Amino acid sequence: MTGNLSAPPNDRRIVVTVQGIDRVGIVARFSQVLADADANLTDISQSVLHGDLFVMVAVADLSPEGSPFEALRQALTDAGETLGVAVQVQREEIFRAMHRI
Amino acid sequence: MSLSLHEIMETLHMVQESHLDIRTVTLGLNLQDCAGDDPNQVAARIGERVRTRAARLKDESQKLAAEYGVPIVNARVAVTPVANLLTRPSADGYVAIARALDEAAAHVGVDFLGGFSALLEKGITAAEAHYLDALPEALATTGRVCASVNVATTHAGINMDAIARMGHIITDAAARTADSDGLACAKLVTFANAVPDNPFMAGAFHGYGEADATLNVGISGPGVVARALDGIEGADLGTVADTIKRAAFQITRAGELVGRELSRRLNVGFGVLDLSLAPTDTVGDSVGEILEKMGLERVGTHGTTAALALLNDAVKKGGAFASGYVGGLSGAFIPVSEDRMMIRSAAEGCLTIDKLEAMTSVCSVGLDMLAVPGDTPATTISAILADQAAIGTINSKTTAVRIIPVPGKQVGDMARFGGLLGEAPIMPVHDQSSAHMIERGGRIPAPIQGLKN
Repeated sequence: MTGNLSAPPNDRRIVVTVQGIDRVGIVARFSQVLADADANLTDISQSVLHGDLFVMVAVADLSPEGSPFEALRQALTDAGETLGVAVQVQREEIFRAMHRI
Repeated sequence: MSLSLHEIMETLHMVQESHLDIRTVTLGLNLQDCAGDDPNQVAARIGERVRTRAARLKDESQKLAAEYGVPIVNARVAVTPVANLLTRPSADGYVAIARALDEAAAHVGVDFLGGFSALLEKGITAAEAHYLDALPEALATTGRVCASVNVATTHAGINMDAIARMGHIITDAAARTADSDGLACAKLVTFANAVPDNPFMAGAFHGYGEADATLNVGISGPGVVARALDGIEGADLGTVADTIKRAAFQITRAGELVGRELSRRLNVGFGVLDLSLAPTDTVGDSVGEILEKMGLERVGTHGTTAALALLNDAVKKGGAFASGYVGGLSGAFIPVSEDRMMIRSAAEGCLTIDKLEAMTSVCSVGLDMLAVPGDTPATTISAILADQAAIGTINSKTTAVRIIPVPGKQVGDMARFGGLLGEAPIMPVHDQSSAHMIERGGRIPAPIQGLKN
C-alpha cells in the first residue's frame, strides 16, 4: 500500500480489514459507512484470491467531529454482517508497533 | 515507510489463528497506608482502595482491546503483601482481609487478585506466623485471592523453617478443598527470589519499592512462536533462535503499545513488560508444542532442557529490544495443567517431576500446577520446595512452585481444576523419605553468589 500511509502515525487513523466471499457492492458499502461517519478514506487496497476470496484493507482518518471509534466500529461490523463478510477495525498504531522499529 | 498488505494480514493472522493476545494487565496497588490495629477497619480500607483504584481497569482494558484488535485476556490486581498490614495480628484478622480482597475483586470484575503474601526468606515475624496460620482457611474460603510466600533469596539463603511450614500449609489447604481436587493450592505460590512487579497470577504482588499504583503487562503468544517455526522445518538451531526472536519482538511491541496506552488512560505509571510465554489449554497455544516442534518426540524427553533454554533466551533477546522496561519474571512458564502437550506427556509418563525440576534451571516457574498424590507427606512437599529454592538461590533467579496434593487421588488419576487452571495427571513423587532433613529446620546460608559487593 502506498500514499498517505507514509505519513506519521496518529491516533485517529484506523485500518479496516474485510475478508469474505466476493460479491457486488462490498467496497461501495464500506466506503459509504466511512463517509457517513465523516471518516476520510486515505488508502484502499483490495484483491480477490483463489477466484472468490475477497480481501480489502482500507485506511481512514477519523474526523474530530465525526463518529467516535466505537460507533464507527459497530457500524462497519453491522455492514459486514449484512454482506456476510468478516470485518476487523483497528487503530493503525498496532500495525506500526509490530512491524516497524 | 508504508505498511504493506502482507504486514497487516500477518498481524490479523497472529490474532485469529495463532492466539496472539496480551495475557494480563495487572494493576499493582500500595496498601501500606491501610495498616492498623483493627482487622475489620483494615479490611474495610483495603476493600475501598481496590474498589476505587481498580474501578475502571476491566472496562478500559476491554475497550482498548477492541480498538487495537488484540485481545486482553485478563485484567488483574496485585496488592502489597498483606502479612505486614496488621499491627495487632491474629489469624482471624488475616482471614477477614482475604475476604475483603475477594469481595473487592468481585466488585471490580477481576478473576484473580494477588498479594495475600509474605516475604519470609530470612525469618518469620510474629505477625507473619499468624498470617501462615490463616493461609489454608483464607485460600479455602475465597475464590479470587491468590497467595504467595517467598522462602529464599540469593542474599538471605533458604529459610527451611518456612519451607517446613509450607509443606503442612499446602497439604492442609488441599484437604480443605478436597471436593475441588485441592483447588486452594492452585492459588498458592512458593517462591525463591520473588519479584515485586510480576503481573502473572498466582504469584503477583505489589512490592515495597513500588509507587502507589503501577500497571504491569504480561505478554504471551506461544501459538505465534509455534506458527513461526512451521516455516523453518529442518533449519539449524541458530535459525530457530533467530525466528523466535523475531516473533517475540512483534508480540512484545503489541504488549508495550497496549500497556502504555492503558496506563495513560488509567492515569497510573507504566511499570514493566513481563516477557513470559504463558500457555493456555487452547489447542495451538502450548509451550510444549514449541519444544516438540524443535524436534522432540515428546516434551520431557532428553533434550527438553536445552530446547527450553534456547526458547527462553530467544524470547528475552527479541523482547528486550522491543520494550523500554522489561521486568517481572520474564521466563517461559510450564504449568502442567494449562498446557495440552505437557498434560499429554505427563500422562504418558514421559514428563516427570525430576525433568520439570531440571527445566526450572533455565526458565522461571518450573514446578507449576503440578498434581501429586493426595497422600504425599508434607515433608516430601517441603523437600520439593527446597530443591526449587536451591536452584533459584544458587543461580540468582526466580523459581516458583505451585503443587497440588490432590486428596484421594493417585498416579493414573486426573485432577480437574476447571476454567483457566485446566486439568493435570497425578504425577509420581519419590517414595523415599526426606523427613529427617526437613525436620532439621534452620536456614541454609546464602550462597557465595550472593556476596557480590
